[in-house]
Amino acid sequence: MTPEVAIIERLKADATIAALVGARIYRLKLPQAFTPPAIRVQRISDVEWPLHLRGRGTLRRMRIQVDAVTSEYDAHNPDPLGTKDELTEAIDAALVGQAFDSSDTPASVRIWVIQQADEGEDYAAEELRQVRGIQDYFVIWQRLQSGMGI
Amino acid sequence: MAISVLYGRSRVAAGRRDKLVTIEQRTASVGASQMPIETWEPLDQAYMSRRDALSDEALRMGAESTWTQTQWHLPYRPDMDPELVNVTKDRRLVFAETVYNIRAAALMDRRTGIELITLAGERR
Repeated sequence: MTPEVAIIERLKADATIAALVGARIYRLKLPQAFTPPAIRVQRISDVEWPLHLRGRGTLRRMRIQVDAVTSEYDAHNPDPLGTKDELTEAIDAALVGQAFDSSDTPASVRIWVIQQADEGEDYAAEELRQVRGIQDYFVIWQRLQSGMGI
Repeated sequence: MAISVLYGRSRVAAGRRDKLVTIEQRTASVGASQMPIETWEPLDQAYMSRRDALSDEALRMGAESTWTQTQWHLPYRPDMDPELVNVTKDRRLVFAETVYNIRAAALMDRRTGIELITLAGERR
């Protein structure tokens, strides 16, 4: 399993997020003609962290981008930014400060901590008419070897 | 094409106005977030001819999306007259559950009809 998939599973397991997007959480690309709202998770970078004098470590620092994509004409909340704000707050609550292992057996990825890195919003005009919340996170994670589970 | 002015009013071919299209009108407000809200309500229905002029598919905002530019012809009506109403801003079309945003509107010869150019996203 990859840390991105572990994070997507964490988002899917959150009741508030599930109530808004169901299972529509995707990686890298959204499907064609999807029904908003939905979430897209993308890896921005992934580097060894931290470096030290005793050799290479096993921890890594990843930056991921989590997009909350909603329709300008959303039946759930007629304010175009309403559902976007609900969804971005729910994503923050599900991820920031969290530590967890991936759900596979035995766990292959440990997320040590997730921190906010950046946040913004965007609007797609023309034929899309979508409002998008863009949130970046730093993820300190480690690939677990067999028997390293908590 | 105009036939002749010698025998009375010039005539323009109506084309195949066989699509019953819903015309919607916009109501503008501002949401609690202070973002402008567009609310669309049906205004009327009209028979129109439709010709898909241009279409393409591209990766936009992380998703493959299709857009289609379409040309519509409808009989003249004052509530769609681009000289009387801001048609591109306050009107849009809905046909077969697809929304067509109006990008351009023009009067046809001597107010015999109206031509609209629309942009639509993925057809449902």
